[in-house]
Amino acid sequence: MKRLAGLGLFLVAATSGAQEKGPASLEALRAEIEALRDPSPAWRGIPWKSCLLEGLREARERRKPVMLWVFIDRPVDDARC
Amino acid sequence: MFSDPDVVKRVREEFVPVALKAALVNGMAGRRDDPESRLILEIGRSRPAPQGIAIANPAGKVLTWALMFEGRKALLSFLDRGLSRFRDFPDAGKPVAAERFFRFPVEKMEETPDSGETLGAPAAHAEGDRCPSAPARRAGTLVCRVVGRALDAEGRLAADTTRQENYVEDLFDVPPEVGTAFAGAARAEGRLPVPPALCRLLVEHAYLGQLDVRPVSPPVPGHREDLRRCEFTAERVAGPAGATRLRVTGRTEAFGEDPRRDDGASFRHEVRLDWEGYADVAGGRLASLVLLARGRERLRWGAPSFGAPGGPSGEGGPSPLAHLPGGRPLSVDAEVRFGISGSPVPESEAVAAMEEGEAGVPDPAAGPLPRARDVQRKAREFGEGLDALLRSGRIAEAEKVLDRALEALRENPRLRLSDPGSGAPPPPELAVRLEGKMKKLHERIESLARSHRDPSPVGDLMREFQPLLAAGKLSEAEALLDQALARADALAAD
Repeated sequence: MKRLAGLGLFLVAATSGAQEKGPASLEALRAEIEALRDPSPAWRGIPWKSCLLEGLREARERRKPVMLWVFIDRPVDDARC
Repeated sequence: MFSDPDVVKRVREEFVPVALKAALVNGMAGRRDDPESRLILEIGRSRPAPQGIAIANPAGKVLTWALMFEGRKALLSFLDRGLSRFRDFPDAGKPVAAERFFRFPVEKMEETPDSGETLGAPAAHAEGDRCPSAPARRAGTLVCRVVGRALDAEGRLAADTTRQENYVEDLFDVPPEVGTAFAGAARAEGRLPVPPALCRLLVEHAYLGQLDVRPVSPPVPGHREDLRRCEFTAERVAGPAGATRLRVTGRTEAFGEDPRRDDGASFRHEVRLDWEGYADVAGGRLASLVLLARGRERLRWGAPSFGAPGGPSGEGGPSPLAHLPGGRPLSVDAEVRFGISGSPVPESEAVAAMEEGEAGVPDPAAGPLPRARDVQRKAREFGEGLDALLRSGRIAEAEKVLDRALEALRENPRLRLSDPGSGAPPPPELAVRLEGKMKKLHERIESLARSHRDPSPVGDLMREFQPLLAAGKLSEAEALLDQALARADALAAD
């Protein structure tokens, strides 16, 4: 729904931009950036935890093993690998 | 791998998925003494490489590791194997050796015995303790989210968002001092240049593909960077009350390559972008950033044989899962779009000061060797990169990297191979002796790899080699080399 709203805003802003020359507005740029985003890419299907303690606790509660994915990236969350 | 619906379903239903940064597991993010850090390091004790997939029981005991998989069926079998091992070793009640596979299930490595001790796994962090996995962001940091997407031949956004050559999401921080510098510059009238530190951060993250092919500030030693153009300017425009709004425009041309590798991981990458957006400054800080870049990107990753029929990732060839660290061949020549949206770190999440060993995002404006901490970070990255090459059997590449490092040591007239411990003038033959021993070590490791013996214990020892060299502790570096040679000989004799 958010993506549809973003697309709608983008269409409105783009139409406005076509009628008057000048740089894109902040709202138009935000909408265009939002339109680039896939709201649910397949690789987000796994809800990875970043806290090992939280993962081990849930594993004890659910009586399941932990799958650990050790990945190389820069030291911030959600950065590409 | 994690876009396969069957894999996603099974991981969600049968496991608890935890993603850990390799820097933590490899002990590269600073030594901490909290329970979680100790558990993470224990997990790292059995790792066959800096990155991989492991299955552990709820006590934190690793049951099995794998770096790669023979194919999709092997990946699913690996999940079965993990569940079977979990049934046998559901807790710390009995010791369990960690199985390790270079390529599951066909290339098994030596198991790592149980440590014999059980580390406590508390339900939560102690009050006041920060999770080691949580990024340490100082107040004033601008957290920027990046989205990048290729366009198809008809100018539509690429539909397949499972592949990094089509679609990426990324995250980076603008450190407080970089934001403050921009805010200071923004006080000037008229069109002003955006400070280089911020320019570089922006262009650094606007690319498609995996981390290895980043054209600017390449993470892999030996990759060449050529930032041919990086120009951003800003100008005040009408904005919200209490803030100064600036309209930002820019043009960048980034180029990166490594054509010399002989393992199929050569690449050539060019990204040309035109940028527009807005930045808000308030309270002497960068308060928000919204930028859109449009342009063209050309990327080729992999040797010609890499995707050829019968070759790696080619038709009839091994599955891409069989060489995960190397990835698939990539070929991109497309119009692209990148969006960057930055907002301040919430006050509740900011840390007061950087903790020891947590350098945070380096400040590119400070120059190539700005502070001792950055030098240490580079030494760690070098060691980590070398370790990864040795562990994955890429011996020829490791040797090339070391050759270049040794050449730099010999060629730089300001460097003196002195041994601070002795106070005596450096023995003139020391560099030659080190080089000779390194060559011997390479030969030993090659021999181990050819005979399917695991050279990773040698890699473990050698992790400290480059930091010792960087610190000028050459006698200690030589002693470490001697230990590594002895270890390699012992492995060969087993």
